[in-house]
Amino acid sequence: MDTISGDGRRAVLQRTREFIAALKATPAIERFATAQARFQTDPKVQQTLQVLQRNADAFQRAQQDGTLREEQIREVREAQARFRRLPPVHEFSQARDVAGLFLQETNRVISETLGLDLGQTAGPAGGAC
Amino acid sequence: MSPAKQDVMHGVDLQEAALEKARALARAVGESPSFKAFEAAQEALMADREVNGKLQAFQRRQQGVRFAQAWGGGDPAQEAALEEEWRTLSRTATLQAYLRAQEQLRDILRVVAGMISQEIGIDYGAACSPAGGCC
Repeated sequence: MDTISGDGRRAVLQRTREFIAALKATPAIERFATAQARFQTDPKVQQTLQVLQRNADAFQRAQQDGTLREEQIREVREAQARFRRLPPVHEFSQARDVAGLFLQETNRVISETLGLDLGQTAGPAGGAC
Repeated sequence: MSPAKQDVMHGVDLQEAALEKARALARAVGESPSFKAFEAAQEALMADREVNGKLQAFQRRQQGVRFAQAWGGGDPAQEAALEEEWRTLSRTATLQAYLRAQEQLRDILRVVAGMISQEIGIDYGAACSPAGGCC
């Protein structure tokens, strides 16, 4: 249909960009952006991530070969716990939760105004349910 | 007022501003031709008593089949019959028009959610339907 690529769609895209700009200025989303940048660039975090990835690969191989030891499971769990305790990881996780809650709040406002759930309608599992 | 308190106040204002932009976005979607077409198709579907009745009966049977599947008692014959029933049902004009309108609206909403997800770095759909959508 031609109409959806017309003015209506342009207005929606324009409002979306304005909404995104306003979102980025909020403390919740700003905090998340900062935390994400630190998470992605912190050498200790990235180094630990690589170790975790190697651990996971070795774990999977051992599982397939049937040589998985109790000790190996404990090591992987401990490494994961150490990773989560790294300050940038902890902050990233908390900031993401706070940002997620605020996004939910915006979705609630949109859904109330529109009478239709944006997140759910556009979401991945929004099929013919 | 302390600087910290001023910061909090400022933060609240920024949040309120974002919520106002969210409302403006919702209004723009509500005024878009694809949303209006969806509403009209939905009304037409609701007014079509015959298709509506069949649709409700189909949904009841679908629920039964899904329930059986979830508990490991799926019956392939029943599932095939249900699929056939859907094929027949989805050929009716009102339902076809509704599904088409819904898909077009969904297209635009996916674009909106996709832009937000990409710019913010969090999947908007996933963040907003924590239970994984409507299923």
